Amino acid sequence: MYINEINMPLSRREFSLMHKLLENPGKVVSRDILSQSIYGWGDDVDSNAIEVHIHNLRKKIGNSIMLRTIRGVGYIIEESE
Amino acid sequence: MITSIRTFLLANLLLSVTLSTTLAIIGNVFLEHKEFQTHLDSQLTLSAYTIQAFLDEESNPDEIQEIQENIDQAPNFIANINYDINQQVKTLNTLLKSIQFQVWNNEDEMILHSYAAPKINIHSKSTGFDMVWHSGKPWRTFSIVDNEKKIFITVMQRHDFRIILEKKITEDSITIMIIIYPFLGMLIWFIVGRGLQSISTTTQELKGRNRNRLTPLPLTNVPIEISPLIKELNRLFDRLSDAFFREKRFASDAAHELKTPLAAISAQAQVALQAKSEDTRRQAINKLMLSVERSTHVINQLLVLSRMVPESTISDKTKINLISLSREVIADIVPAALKKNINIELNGDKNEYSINGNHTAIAILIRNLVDNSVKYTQNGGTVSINIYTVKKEVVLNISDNGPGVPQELKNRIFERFFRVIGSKATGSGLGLSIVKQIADIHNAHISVKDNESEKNGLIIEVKFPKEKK
Repeated sequence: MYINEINMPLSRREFSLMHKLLENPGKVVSRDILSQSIYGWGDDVDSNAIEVHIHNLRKKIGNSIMLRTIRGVGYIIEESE
Repeated sequence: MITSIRTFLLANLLLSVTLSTTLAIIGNVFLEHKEFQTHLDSQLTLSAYTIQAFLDEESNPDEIQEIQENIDQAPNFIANINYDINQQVKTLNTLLKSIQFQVWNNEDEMILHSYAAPKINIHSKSTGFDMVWHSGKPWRTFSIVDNEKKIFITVMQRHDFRIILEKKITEDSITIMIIIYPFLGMLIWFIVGRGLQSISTTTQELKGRNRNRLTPLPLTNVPIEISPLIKELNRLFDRLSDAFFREKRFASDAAHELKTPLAAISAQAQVALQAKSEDTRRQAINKLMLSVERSTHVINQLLVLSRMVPESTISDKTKINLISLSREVIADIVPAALKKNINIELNGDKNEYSINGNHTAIAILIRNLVDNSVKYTQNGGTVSINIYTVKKEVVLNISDNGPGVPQELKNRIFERFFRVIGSKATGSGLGLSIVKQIADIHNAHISVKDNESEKNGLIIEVKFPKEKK
């Protein structure tokens, strides 16, 4: 993935998360949907797993993309004005 | 199908009366038959012993002859009897002829007999009760032998007279019944009529009402059989008047709410028409569009309000997970919140807060409340939605650190078209009244208080009864 023309290597799961979030820019993507996109249906996912991935993603993308946590609801990538 | 309760009751009651009376008569004839016969037999016996008592041991034939002559005179006396029941003279004569006696000596000569007794010996030489055929008629006889006086006494009664008597009694009963019948019919007709009076009273009451009067019918002086009907009617009236009220309110609200925006729209349209520069025109048209949007919003809210009727929402209740429904609703609002840089969050640890309700209605309730908080909270504020249980209630708590509502107005924010004066945000003034209406339908309780953990702010709590398991 290229961010500001810099190639940023993402893990498979980080990429899936990013993909899902970028599919719905400006919309909240719930944690359920995110975990489904990584682990598929029915898998019992550790509740912290998504948070860890998001944390890592944030470190990699920095301030170039606003990835916000909406507590209790999900995550959203804000559209730039 | 019964076309008339009165006719139905009359016919069936008369039928029952006829049936029971007939059964009573038949029963009487059969049961009284024996009693009656015993009674008549006792008369026979008494007569026989009376005759025996009157006859002397050494009665001389001449004396007896004299007695016989006197007895033979009896028809003349009888003819002169002044019987006070005129119609019954014939019956009296028949009955007088029905009991006869014969007295025989031991030489088989009939020494004494009643004036109409058969002239031949019909007794069967046996003592006690017997049944004898004589000249084609059955006779009931009772005979005694007096060995000292050397006489044989037979008292007899035509058996068919006995039956005639019984028949007469039966006939009399039937006659009485037939005479009573019309009176009974009239009485039943009258009583049933009185009983059904309350129906016609209710009918009159209904007939006399004005088309627009939907007040309930009085339940006083109404028999218990009619009151469920009236209660149902009253319930119907209630629903109808509710519906009428909503319709009327919708129309007047719409008229009231659209009057001002329409005037504004018209003014802006004129400005646009007369605009000299393209810039002014664009501005005017933009304002016009805004007014149209606002009016559309008001109309939509009014429609929601008038559709949120208890009947339609209650009939469509399901188990709702309050957390996941809130998540869906909030997800839609987040973009608007982020535009104002408002931090919005949903707190609720478990996914077990389920309530019973109408999915669409509850979604509207949550949306209106969260929307409101986001709308009135200033940039950079916080709106948090908290879901938890207290005792037997599921609480939906929406807290913000917006301007809040002055204490004296807290009770009024649920009124229709009520807006806190000076509010900067736009609104129809209907959102919270819709919330209140939905809460009422779901037996939920709403409370409003200050957010004390912040400098200012508002907390709205909706307490739903927990879903029954």
